[in-house]
Amino acid sequence: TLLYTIKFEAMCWFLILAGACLMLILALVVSKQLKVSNMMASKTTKLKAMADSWSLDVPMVPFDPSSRINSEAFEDMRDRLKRRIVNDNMEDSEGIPYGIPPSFINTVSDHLVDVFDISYLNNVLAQFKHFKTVIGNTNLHFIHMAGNEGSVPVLLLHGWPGTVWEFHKSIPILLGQGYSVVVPSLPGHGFTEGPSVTGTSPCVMACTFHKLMLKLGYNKYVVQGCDLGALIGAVISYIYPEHVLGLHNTLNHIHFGWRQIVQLVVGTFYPKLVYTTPQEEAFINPISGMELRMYKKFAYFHVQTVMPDTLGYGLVDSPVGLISWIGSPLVLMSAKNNSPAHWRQGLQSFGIDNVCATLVIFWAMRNAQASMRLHYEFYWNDREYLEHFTIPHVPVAISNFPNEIIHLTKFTSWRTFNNIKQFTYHKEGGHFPHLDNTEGVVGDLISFIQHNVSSDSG
Amino acid sequence: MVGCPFIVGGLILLIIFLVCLAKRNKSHKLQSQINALKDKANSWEETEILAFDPASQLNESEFKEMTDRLKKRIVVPHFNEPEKSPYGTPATFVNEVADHLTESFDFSMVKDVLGRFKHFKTVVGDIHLHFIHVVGNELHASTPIILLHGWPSTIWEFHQSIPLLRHQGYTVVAPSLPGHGFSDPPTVAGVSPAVIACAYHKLMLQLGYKRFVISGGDFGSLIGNLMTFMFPESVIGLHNTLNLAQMGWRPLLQTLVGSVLPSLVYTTEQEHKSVHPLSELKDRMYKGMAYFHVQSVIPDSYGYGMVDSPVGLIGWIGFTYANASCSRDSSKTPMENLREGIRNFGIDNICANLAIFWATRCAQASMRIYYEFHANDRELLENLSIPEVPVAISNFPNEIAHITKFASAGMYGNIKQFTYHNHGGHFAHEDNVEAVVDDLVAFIYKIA
Repeated sequence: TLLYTIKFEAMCWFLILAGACLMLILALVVSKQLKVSNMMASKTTKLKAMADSWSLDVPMVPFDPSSRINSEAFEDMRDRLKRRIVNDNMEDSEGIPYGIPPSFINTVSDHLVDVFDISYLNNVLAQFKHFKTVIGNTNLHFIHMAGNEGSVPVLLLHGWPGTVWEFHKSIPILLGQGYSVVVPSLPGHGFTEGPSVTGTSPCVMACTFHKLMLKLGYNKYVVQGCDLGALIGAVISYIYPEHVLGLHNTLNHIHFGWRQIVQLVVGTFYPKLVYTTPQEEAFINPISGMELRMYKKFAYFHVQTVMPDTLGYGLVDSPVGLISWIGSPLVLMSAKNNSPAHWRQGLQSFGIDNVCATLVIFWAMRNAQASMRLHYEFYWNDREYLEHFTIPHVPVAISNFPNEIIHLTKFTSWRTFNNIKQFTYHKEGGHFPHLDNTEGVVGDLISFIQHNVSSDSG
Repeated sequence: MVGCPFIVGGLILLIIFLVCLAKRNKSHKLQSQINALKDKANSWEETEILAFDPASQLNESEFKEMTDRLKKRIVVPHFNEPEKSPYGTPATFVNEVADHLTESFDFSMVKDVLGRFKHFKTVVGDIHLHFIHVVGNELHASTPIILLHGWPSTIWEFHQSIPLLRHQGYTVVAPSLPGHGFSDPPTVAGVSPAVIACAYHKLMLQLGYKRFVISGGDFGSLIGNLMTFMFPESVIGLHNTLNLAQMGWRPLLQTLVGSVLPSLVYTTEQEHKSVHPLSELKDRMYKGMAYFHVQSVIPDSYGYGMVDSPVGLIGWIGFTYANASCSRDSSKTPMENLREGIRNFGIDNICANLAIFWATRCAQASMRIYYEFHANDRELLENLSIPEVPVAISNFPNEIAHITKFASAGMYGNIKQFTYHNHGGHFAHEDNVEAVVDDLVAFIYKIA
């Protein structure tokens, strides 16, 4: 009985200690959650107050893109390309492990020098009505095409390194359905100059674009976003949910949580149970290679969140630098496995004229360097906020394309989006589906609007 | 219940056993990696050593091309206070260096200065090596020195040090790092720092120097460490300006004690600040490793703009010279810090290095060493130990890493000299050449 008493007492102490530990952990978790909620609420309040302080009375002035996409800028670009210095010293030039091979640089250079015609670029852009206005600190360019009376307005958001050119095939299709379409150029991209002050982060851009819609008289609208545009669209849905009729994304946003862990563990043993496509599985499995894969995938992101200007000088002064740093993502993010080995396929999918149009716009506007600052602002200003937001009610549609850079399952997407109404997979297309699978992405958007979005555009 | 301690004890023993097993497998793997490297080096045939004139690669036309492009440069900050830009190199810096190159810099000075030395070229395996060779006097014949620079430096780094050493009668061999300046970049992948270490070792043997002293900075320190690790019998002494000894239990213990009693553990403020405050360490590492990350993954994509544009070259390579030579004081503006760096490194030294980089078009290839290091040599560095060869470390205040003598003992078993200086940075041969040469000479005197 003595031994029994000792055992019993030991067990009691053990239970008390375990209970105390559990209480401590619980208290820590709850206090952390409270801290996070407070941080989210206070930042949301600050952002809304900042946005409300912006005057919406600045007039919207018509803008002609050809005033900047002129022969002076293009001839300067061609001239520099004719005198380009491009090393090509490796025995296995095509198979270099160090980045995009020189054959890519030379292929695009030759096309710009010998084939590309800016009148094609200007004629396409002239189909649409362009404007400039000032909202907050942003001297904003945007396309606005009014559709049928009372129809759903659609806000299209590109990302990095994009321009409004990305949507030149999609806009006519949407207009054909009677929708009103608004397409802004992100700060530092396309025809919006880089901001002259710091702080223009994705959250600030979200507020800017929402205020733009209000200024145009659209109280409620649908948002479609790619790359950072998808993230900005999600932020608009988070801050102004009562204004967003629906959110359609092509790039899924990574939010780490218990779902990822469950999926990771189950997916190691029963991948078929968890992953719908080989790309979804390859994104995670094999886990042993994941660290290196992520290290390689996000090298550009790391440097752009720390010193965008440093690497940007070569992009503004040299069309070769521009082709390399801006041109290669366009092509690699459209390529199978996003691999340099498939750059030719990526170039064909994205379209060499689309690559050239994008590069000519960045060259003429001289804002490639400024474009990368939004990664810096995202990392140092918005990171924590964007780790924790969720979209509980706004209807969401996600379109998955095989050559996209991030592949998340519907299961993990529920972490961020609690009202997923549409989740589609396509057999073709990559990071820029508006260019390499226009019917796929626009078809999804129209279907989403018709079936899941009320046309109460207020 | 009673069995609990046994279960826990058993688990701990199992973990220890597994760790030991992993370590043994690792050291076995490492030894076979080193053996493979040595076998490869042994298979390299001796090739001719040819005299070389750097002026043949430093054409006036190349320099004119550089200044022409600079005169037509496009630099558009899109920002209202360029001197305070948090986004990286300020436009003010780029314009100041560009103006100096186009208006004041005398390019012929580079050829004149380099022409005072005897240059040679040879091929070791897949590696094309340019080097300066100075033959000293009888007194110092037993301690020839190999000087190793790193990234993004050139042989210009030693243009003051070599005369100082020559004057004292030392024999000096100073190679250009592959892919930098006059050492053409390899035409095949795989030339990592460990392979370069073998090539440098082979070069010294070919020149008749069976035993030698190594003095290096940046990648030169890394390669010097590797040479000493793989060929300890060849190295009389190892002198580093960049300390890479950060391994084992010592840094952890030091950090713990240093959080509470910093004066017990850190000799200089820089040593203290390089770790504390711990709350800022993650952000500081994130910022500090950005360049390493991009250069170890896509150096070529990054580099196209630096070969085609002298503005791109100044923006990154030029900036690095100044940034690594200043105190990087966060209470000052970025431009104030860079002005200090320009003063320390010397505007003409910046321009000389940039002119060599431009004329040899090596900026892009120079960064490949980061890729090759990351792909091949990380484990070697993590397991490097130099138990017996005498080591000297020279500590300069504006260097990028500051490691205490206590922590260094984790890698070096025989630290003969550990000096601190009040002036100088990452490129000590440019901004405190007397101190670094004095340290080297004093070290040789101790170990000869």
